[in-house]
Amino acid sequence: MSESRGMRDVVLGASLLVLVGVLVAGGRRSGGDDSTALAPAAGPDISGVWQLAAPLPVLMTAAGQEPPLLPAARQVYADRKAGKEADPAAKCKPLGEPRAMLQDAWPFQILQSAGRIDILYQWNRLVHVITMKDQHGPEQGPFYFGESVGHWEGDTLVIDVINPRDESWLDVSGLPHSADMHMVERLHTVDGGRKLEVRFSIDDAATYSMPWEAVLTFERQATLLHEDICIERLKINDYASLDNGIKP
Amino acid sequence: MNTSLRLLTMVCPALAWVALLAAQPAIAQVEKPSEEDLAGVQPAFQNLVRGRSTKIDQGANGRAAARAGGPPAPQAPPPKNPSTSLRDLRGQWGAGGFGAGAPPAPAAAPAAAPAGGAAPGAAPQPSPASGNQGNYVNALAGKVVNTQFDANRMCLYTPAFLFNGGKFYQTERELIIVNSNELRVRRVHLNAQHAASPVPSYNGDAVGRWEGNTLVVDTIALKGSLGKIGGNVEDGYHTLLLANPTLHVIERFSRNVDGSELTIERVIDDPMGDKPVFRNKTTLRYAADTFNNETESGCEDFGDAFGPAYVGEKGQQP
Repeated sequence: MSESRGMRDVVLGASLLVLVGVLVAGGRRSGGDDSTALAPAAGPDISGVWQLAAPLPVLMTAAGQEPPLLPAARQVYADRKAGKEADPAAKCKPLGEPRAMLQDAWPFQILQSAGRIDILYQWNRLVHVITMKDQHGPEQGPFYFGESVGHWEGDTLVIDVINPRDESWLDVSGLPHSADMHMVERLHTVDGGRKLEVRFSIDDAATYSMPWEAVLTFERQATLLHEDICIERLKINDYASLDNGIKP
Repeated sequence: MNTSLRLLTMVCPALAWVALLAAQPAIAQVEKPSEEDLAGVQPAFQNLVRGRSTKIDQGANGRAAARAGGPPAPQAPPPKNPSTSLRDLRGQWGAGGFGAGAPPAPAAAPAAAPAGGAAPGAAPQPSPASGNQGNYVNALAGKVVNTQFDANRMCLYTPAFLFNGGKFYQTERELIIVNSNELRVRRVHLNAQHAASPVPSYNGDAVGRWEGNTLVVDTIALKGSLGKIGGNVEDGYHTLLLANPTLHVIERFSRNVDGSELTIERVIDDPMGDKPVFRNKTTLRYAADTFNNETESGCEDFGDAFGPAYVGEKGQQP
């Protein structure tokens, strides 16, 4: 019995020593200058590398329908699908969103801070910068990614995009939009943070008969992004990687 | 401020970047675009290429801002990185330009002055009659040159370690710098080893480790054209160095205690070339999160203006 108690005392003493050591180390870490632990960024954490779960050659509405194109826009779309209009991606132009997220062979990374969120695309090292503020600034745009401001609504990042450049396509198939498009993106994680759901709300009266929405789901990736320079792929005629082989 | 001027303010920070195409046939296109080249290009970009620039005033966040005139804005207290950890480099850091914090140190092993440039460490001199072409040839030969070449019209890729400020993100695995100039991204793998056979890239194979509170970043396997590594921004002269896969860059990032400044000490060595070891020191200032959307698109339209130089021979489109 006494031997057992002695052993117990030894164990307790050792445990206390370990605990004290941990506390001392922890105190030094939190109060010292050599900490490698970073305080979390402001807002819910949606940072990480994400990639479309499955190939998506054509963007559809949340109900699985073709977006409600107006007649003129439908003709533009038909011309693009027929190859009568050059794909801006073939000249390495910024893809804009949502197309940049649809490049299924190309992951993207979300980095966040209190005042700004960056979405880094591996495709031609594109960057979409979202300024975290409520109102758009004056005299902005047009830009490929539009002028983008963001805010948090609970665990959802809400990005408000105006003044996009109308030469970009909404998807790989050539779905059009005008420079007057107003797009709201809502991003939040699902499935315990393993997936990112993005809801695009598109209001573009010059192109579509009514506002419509698309919902896409992305999977978290363990990899890091790599350097990609589009014009160098062009030089070696690596066209396939421009559009995932969807086009010849 | 009109659109043209604002576009200029976006692209002109590239005064801190000097580059030439690695492809010799593209030089003529790069140095003097013809009116034909500019036909159909957006007016703002035509102005940019034709050099209708204005005096450059480096903003507090490191991004240049062209001022139309008027009294200077009142000075606000400088922002600071709120983190108490000296190993927290996150935030917006800016400066007056690459190497602006201190003049380049004298060369450790001075090389002979090349025909098209000046001796390393010498005061900037006007470009010789041979012009940029001569500088380019000399630089290709591995020699440091001074030139008046104006890279803000180029939008060419330069090694990623050449930056004059940007947004720093930091994770357990990476330090990511989104350059204020053209949003070019630099990645440093933290607590990692160099790849066994790294493929040369503009980012290079960059790994970082902590030595006390100093982040030591070691970069190899670089590619790219010419990058400015020093010189006098104000008079437009730049010291050039040819980035190549043998280049070895060591940087030491250290933040001051109050979070207002980030110092970067650089040692650039080319063990396979005849260039001297280059050393300089830059101090970046912490800035509030700001972003001008125009940073996005100026150079993205360069393919329209310099399509031949950008993607191949003149007239050849993908």
